[in-house]
Amino acid sequence: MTESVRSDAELLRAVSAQDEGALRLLYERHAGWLNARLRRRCSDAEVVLDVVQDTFVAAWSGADRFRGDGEVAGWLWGIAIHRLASRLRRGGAANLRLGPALAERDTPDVSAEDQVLVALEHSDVGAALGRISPQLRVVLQATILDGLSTREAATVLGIPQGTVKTRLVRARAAMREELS
Amino acid sequence: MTSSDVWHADHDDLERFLDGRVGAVFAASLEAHVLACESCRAQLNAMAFEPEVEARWTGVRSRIEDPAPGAVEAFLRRLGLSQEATSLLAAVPSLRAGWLLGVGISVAFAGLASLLSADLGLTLFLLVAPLAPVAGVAAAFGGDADPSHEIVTTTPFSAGRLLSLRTLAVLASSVPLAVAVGLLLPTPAWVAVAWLGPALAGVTATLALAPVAGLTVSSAVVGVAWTSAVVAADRASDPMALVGTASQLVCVLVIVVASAALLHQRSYDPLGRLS
Amino acid sequence: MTDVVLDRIGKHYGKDVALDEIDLTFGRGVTGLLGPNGAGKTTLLRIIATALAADTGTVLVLGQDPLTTRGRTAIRRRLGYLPQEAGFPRGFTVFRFIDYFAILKEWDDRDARHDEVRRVVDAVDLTDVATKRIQSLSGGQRRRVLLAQALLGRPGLLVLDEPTNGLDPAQRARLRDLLSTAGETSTLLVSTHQTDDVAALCERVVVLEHGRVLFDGSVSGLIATADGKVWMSGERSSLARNAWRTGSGLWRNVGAPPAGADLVAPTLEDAYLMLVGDRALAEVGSTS
Repeated sequence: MTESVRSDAELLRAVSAQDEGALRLLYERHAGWLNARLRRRCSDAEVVLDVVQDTFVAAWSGADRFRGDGEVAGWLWGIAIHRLASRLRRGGAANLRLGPALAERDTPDVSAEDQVLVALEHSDVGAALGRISPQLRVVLQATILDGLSTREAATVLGIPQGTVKTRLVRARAAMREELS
Repeated sequence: MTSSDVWHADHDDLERFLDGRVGAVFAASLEAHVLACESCRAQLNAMAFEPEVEARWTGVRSRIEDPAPGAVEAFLRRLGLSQEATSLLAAVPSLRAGWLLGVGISVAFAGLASLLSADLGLTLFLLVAPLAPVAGVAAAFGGDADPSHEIVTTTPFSAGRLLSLRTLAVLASSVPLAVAVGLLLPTPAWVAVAWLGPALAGVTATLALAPVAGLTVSSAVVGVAWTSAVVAADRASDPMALVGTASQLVCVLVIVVASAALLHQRSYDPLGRLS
Repeated sequence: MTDVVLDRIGKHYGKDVALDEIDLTFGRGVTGLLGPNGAGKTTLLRIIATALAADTGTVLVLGQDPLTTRGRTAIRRRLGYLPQEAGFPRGFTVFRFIDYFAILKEWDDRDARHDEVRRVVDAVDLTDVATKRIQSLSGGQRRRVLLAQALLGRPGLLVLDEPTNGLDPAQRARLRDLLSTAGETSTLLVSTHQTDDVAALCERVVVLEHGRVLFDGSVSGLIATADGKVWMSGERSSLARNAWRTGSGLWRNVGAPPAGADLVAPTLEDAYLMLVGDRALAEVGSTS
């Protein structure tokens, strides 16, 4: 039986019509990278697997809420990262180890090669991001890059919400300075 | 901003990403790229699809196939009923919202009629209240009620257990509302429970007669018998006689005889197919 | 080893005789039950599946007597039954319906039960629609839902009344696959109108007509009864029992050849038509 390959959006439409096979296909296309990306925020493998599972269950019941704007991949990531945030809030973030993306470590990009590639991707922004302090970078990662609210970011990072806000202000200022 | 037409992640980049051997900025860059670029995403996904991830699909599947129970089921579970028992009851039309609503309306209607005339209200109430569980039981088994009953017959589940479970559920669902309406009638309070005598007699008689002529016929017979009694009492302008001492004694007798017949039945098949 | 033994089984509905003193035994493997409408196939299957009691004769299923409660329960624990027609409770999804029957088949452990439900749902290719309401499915899909519940617990005895009804050729092929695998370890009784299903799937075939057994033996044996009696030619023979124009433009004549016809190897359908046609003709002859 030959069937043309369906796009993510088509699969999601089928999912809203309760086609379990379509959800399975979406799972096969996205569960892997979602898991990997989440692991960079939370080192606890079991928690991340739970979140991946929850994400697809949520996708099943919420499929009609996808408005067709933007990629399904981004939509799924949005569900996943917010699930992780509430998981961390419920589960006590202090007990869970943060992954490398959110660890306040000085992580200069490893090789000169990487510097070049990052420059290609983000031009000045990427370089600037690498130069501001890790504390500030992590706040930018959680809010701007991952799309968490300041409250969620506070839970995930284990710092007070006020601190998140002030660091965000300082991070923006630092970026502006680096870029000028 | 991004130049994803120019740059794509190669195998090494993705491997280092998965191993955690990349800097935070490069990782952020790569993640942003993967969201927008289908081929890099597919590649990363394939490399990152560990057996544990595959195994979790079963978890997704079981959550979507067996979703959280509806309001009624959740309520029944709180009462201590197992999930299995609620499933067995959910298949029964006379325990579904529509049916229960119908019963409620009939009983309420009878109660309202008492606003017109105390006697009329009482007569109607005594007609409807005992017959509601009888109809409910008839609609809990057998071909007309349970469309897959032929297969149900051939399962090893104890017929007695199924019978008791569904009958008790029917009684439990029809009794409270009728009692409540009965208390609102302008008659002595004991009438609100006195109708239980004829009700139980009707239910046990229906079940006992079912193997003889089928459930639908036996419930119809019981229905006609009670209706005749009600009509006669109405003609004699003495509806209270239906729940008076003599009547209750007859009901007790019927209950005893019918129950004995039910318990004695060795090859009892409430679906009446083995005849 | 015979799993089902029927000894002089009779059943009648008023004056109508549904089964007339039938003797049959069945063992492991797939047995096909052929016969025209009203032949008694459904009645026979119902008796074996403990959904109905015979009026006369004795029945032994898996060594048990279905007339006793204990015997019936023992049989039902190893039985899977697909009736000719069945409905569904309102609002039930595929998963829920099959889970309902798994409960009735005494699967008390919920996790094990759900695993088993998923297994049979996958076996009949209904995975994609497992969460859909049955009333939204096509006829063929509904039939497969009923088939799935019969497969629960890998029963030792599978009684299937027209399982291929409403299935398209691809689904029929898939079903044959499924049933022939089951036939390796269980006893299967399959009633059908489709002679090609019997030819493809069954080692043994029983032909029923008017409550009597016309043939009970191997499929090849039945085919052999039509040996030397099927011809292809450019025209139709007036003496043939049955004749029809095939896709190739030639006439297939069963029974008697027109002049200059070519003898061909018979199929099961030819043999069946000859067998059943004879009786029909004999009856017409006896009433005129």
